[in-house]
This record gives sequence, structure tokens and C-alpha cells, in this order.
Amino acid sequence: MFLGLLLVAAAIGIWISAQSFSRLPNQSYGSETMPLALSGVAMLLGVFMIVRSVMTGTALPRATLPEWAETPGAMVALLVTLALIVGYIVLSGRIGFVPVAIGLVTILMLVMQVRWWMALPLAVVATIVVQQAFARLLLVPLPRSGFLSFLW
Amino acid sequence: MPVIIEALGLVFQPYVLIVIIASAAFGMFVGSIPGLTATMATALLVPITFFMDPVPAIAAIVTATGMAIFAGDIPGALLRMPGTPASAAYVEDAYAMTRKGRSQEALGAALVFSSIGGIFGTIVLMTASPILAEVALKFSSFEYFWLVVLGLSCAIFVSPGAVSKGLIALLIGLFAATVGIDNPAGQPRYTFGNVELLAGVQFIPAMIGLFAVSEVLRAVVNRDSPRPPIPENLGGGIFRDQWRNLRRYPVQVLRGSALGTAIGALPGAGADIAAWISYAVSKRFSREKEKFGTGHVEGLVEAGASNNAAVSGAWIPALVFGIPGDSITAIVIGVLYIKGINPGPTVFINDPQLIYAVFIVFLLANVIMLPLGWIAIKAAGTVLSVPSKVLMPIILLFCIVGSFAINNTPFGVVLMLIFGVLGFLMDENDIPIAPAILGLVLGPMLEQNFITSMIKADGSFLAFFERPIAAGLGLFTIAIWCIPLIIWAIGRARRTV
Repeated sequence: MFLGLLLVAAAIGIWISAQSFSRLPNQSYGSETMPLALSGVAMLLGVFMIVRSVMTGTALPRATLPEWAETPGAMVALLVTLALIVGYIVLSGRIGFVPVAIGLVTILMLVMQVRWWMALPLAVVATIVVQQAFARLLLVPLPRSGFLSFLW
Repeated sequence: MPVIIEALGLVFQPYVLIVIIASAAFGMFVGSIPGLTATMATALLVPITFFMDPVPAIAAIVTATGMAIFAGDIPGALLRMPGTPASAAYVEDAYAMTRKGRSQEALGAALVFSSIGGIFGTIVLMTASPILAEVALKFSSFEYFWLVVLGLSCAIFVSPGAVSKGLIALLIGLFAATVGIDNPAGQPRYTFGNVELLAGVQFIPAMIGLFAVSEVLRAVVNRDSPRPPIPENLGGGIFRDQWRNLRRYPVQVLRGSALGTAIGALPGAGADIAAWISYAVSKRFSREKEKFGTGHVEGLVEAGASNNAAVSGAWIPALVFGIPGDSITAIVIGVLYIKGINPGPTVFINDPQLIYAVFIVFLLANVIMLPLGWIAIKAAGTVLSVPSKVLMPIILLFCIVGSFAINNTPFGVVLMLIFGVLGFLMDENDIPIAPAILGLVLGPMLEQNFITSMIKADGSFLAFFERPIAAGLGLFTIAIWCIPLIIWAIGRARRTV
């Protein structure tokens, strides 16, 4: 039922947004065609799922948390992981790949309950191996750090 | 005959053989890292091929490509992170086999049947190129439209779980494919003023996010109850099990190879659609349908043969008409032009020894895949012995770098993050991920062929059934959707009576 309602809402949203797209000159088709077709399929599927739920007597389920969310710290661990990726996106261009990657891997290992004296050397080795493979061998221009440019 | 001897002389030189082995190792390395593709391996080789003669240059590309496509199965089987969209078709089965301690059998099947498929495709390339190329060129937008719809339908029906959830996943992928400026009217769609989104959603960062990052997030939230240790190699062997699989599934191997070659020969189709359709065909005709998705090797055998056969098949239009079958052959045609060779019918007359040399290289590359693949599988097996809490942070680092490497911008990492969260939510709600990937990959092709066909047909849907091949593909696709409904209706009617 919930997914059905979500689909209907998405279908309406796509349909409204597709109104601003244009057609090819002198044609009935254009940029709007695909979004409108997707909107139609999503609407049909959503309505089908809602009707099926109603017919089988499945009511709108109460909001329930997944099993893992009851484990202490799991939600925090998830949010920290997402924050680490966001941190990489924001900081790697300014500080450079190597220090940010070492920080990311070390903190994520700590989140995964690896001891710090293992996490730090593992993070350093993994980062250097990845940097050498991608930047040196495959010539991927990973962001450089001024004081670590000898690695490139 | 003298031409073949001349071609053998061109290939069996120490320099060419060293190039083949080095490119094989390079292709294996690139393909086994999530995010790096066979196309990227080819593109990276191009500057090096400038300094080579035509035969070693082509040998380097052919070998690296075939090896990278197989190597994409390694992270798929060990970590549920397919290296290429083609590997995504059977990743659930391969990963389930690994969880049961049969990773060597799974990877052995991917290796051996990739090699067989590649050799089959090469033999077809050698013997029937002109005929197949003629047929392939008869495909118009109507046939391509139905082929794409068939591939997408297969993705829904082979996914585990309810059809409605497979359809939701497909809609997500198709919607993501609408983003950008690459549409019939060239108007920016859903870009929100972001310049990088004008190019659309890149499927590699999306695939890394949906499969790999979602797996990392799942490991993070379940860190207190890590996955049980995976028993390794329960009496199986990389090659020993494959002899048994070959005797058990000869029809599947032949069907996968033939279908893969035929689909690969269609310009623009390629290994992704081939693998999905072959996996669906395998499930449809299997006596053990219920085992698909739970760690059954049959689909892996057929689809594994199919995707490598498609790699050879893509060379058919490239060599016969100079029309690239996929992005890799597009690069190769460029390299051939640089070397002063014009692909097309005349190349068979002007440089026959070169064409035969290419055929021999194809055969060599698919044979050398076996020992090198064996080494790679043995080496990759150690990944399973690393605890999840150490492995997952390092995988995340690979994911970030792989996503960055696609366009060398942090925007790839942004896409990876968004699709990672999306994949995690989809998994939590039992929505399969694989159809979303295929929707993203095939969405632009679907839109382009649909609109081209509608304009040609002046809005008449009947035109989609007027050409014989289009009508056959269309009716087959409709049957795939209708037969389960009819069976369900008959069953319901019987229960009511």
C-alpha cells in the first residue's frame, strides 16, 4: 500500500514536471515523451498495488524501524559513514587524496570496531596502494597534497 | 593458405606474445576493480598502441578487453559488486554460491564459459561475418526498440521477488536515464541547473553506489552481527567442476554463445543485453527454475558464455562495415584508422593477413584467459579470508576512487553516494537492484528508438509489427508478459471452480 501511494505521488510529480519539456518541431514527440510514459506506467502500477492491498485487506502499515535500528549505535554508525563520504567530497580537493583517504578508512575501521593500532597502519598502506595503482599506473588525477606530492 | 601462414607469422613473434600477456594482466587488473571497465582499459591502452605495429596494437586491445569482461565477475562473485553491467545479470547466483563456499566453482564457471563463449564468437567472426553483418544492418529502430524492451522485460522476470517490485526498480533506472540533455529535443531534464548533470547520470558511479556502497552500508549497520565466515572451496575446483558443468549444460553453453554472438553483432546492443537475455532464456527453459538466484550455476554458465561471445560478435559489423558494435570497437576503429587501415569490406581484400592475424589473436586471448584467470581467481580468493570489518572500509575507498575515475571529478562520488543510499533503501524494502541498472543503461536507447519509430510511423503503433523481425521480437516480448498472467488467471479460475 505504502509503495503504491509513493508510486502514485511520483507519477504525479513526473507528469507535472514533464509539462515544462518541449516537443520536437512539428512533431508530437520530444523531451516530454519518455517522462510522460514513465509517469503513466508508474501511475498504473501504483494504482494496481493500492487496489491489490485494499482487496487483500492489507491496511497502511504502521511506520516500523528495521531490525538493525534497534541495535545500539547502528544508526550513528550509518550516519558517520555517510558523513565520511560527504567529508571526502568536500575536503579531498582542498587537502588532497592521501590524508583524507587515510582519515576516512581509519575512522570507518574504528566505526567497524577495529582497534586503532591496527586501523591506522592498515589505512595508510591501503591508501598508498590505491594511490599508486590509480594515480601512477592508471594516470587518474587524484587530488594532490602539496607536502605529499612526491608520491605522484 | 599462404595468407594464414603469413598471419601466423605476424602473431607468433616474441614481441606480440609479450604484448598479449602484459595486456591480459592489465585487463585482469582493471576489470577486477569495481568501477573500472573494459572500455576504460581499452582507452588507457590507446596512447601505448601509438608506438606499436597494427597487429600488436590490436592484440593488446583484444586481450585486455576479453580479460576485463571476465575479471568483472570476480568482485561480483566474491563481494556482490559486479565489475560490469554484464556481470550484474548473474551476480546474485554467483554471490550466493560464494556464500555457500563454492566461490571457486562460480568463478571457474565464469572463466571457462567466458573463454568458450569468446572462442565460439571468434569462430563465427571468422566464418560468417559478412552474412551476420548483413542481417544486423537490417535492424531498424523498430527492431532495436523491441530488443531493448525484451532485455528490460527479462531483467524484471529474472529478478528475485515480486514482479511489481522488479518493475519499480526498472522505473527508477529508466527515470535516472532521463536526466540530462541527451534527449530528442536536446532540452535539459531534471538537471536543476547543475552543469555536470547535463551529461546525464553516469552508470558506473550509479552501479558502484547501488551494489557496492549499499553493501558497505549494510555491513556498517550489522557490524555487531557480521556475516558468518565463508567456508572456502568445499571440495570444488576451478576447472574440475567445469567439466561436469559442460557435460550437464551443453545446450545452455551453445545457446548462450550463439545468442551472445548474434546480439553482440547488432551495433549498439552488446554484452549487457546479451547477458540479461541469456540469463532469462536459461531460467525460462531450465528444469530447475526455482534454484535461480539461490546459487545455481546454470544461469552463470549460459550468461557467462553469452557476454564474452558478444565481445567477439561486436567485431563483426566493425570489421565488415567499419560500424562499431560497442564503445570498445569504436575505439578500435579509431586505432585502425591511425594505423592506416580502413575497416570495411576492402580490408578483407587489401589486408587479408591482418584480418586473419586479428582472428588468431582473438583465439589466443580466449585461451590465455584460462591460466591467467586461474591465477587471478586464486589470488582473489584471499579476499574472503579478510574480516568484513577490515575489508569494507577498503572497499569503500576503491568505490570512491573508481567513481572519481570515470570523469575525474568529485561529482562521480556524489552520484555514488546518492545511489548508495538509494540501493540501501531498495534492499531494505526487498526491491531488486539489477533492473535499475539495466534501466539506466538501456533507457537512452529505448527513448531514442521509440521516438524515432513513432516519428517514422506517424504515430501508428501497428508499424511496430509491420517488419518481420520486429513483429517476431514484439510478439515474443508480449508473450513474456502475458503468459504468466494467463497461467495465473487459469489457476485462479480452477481454484474458484
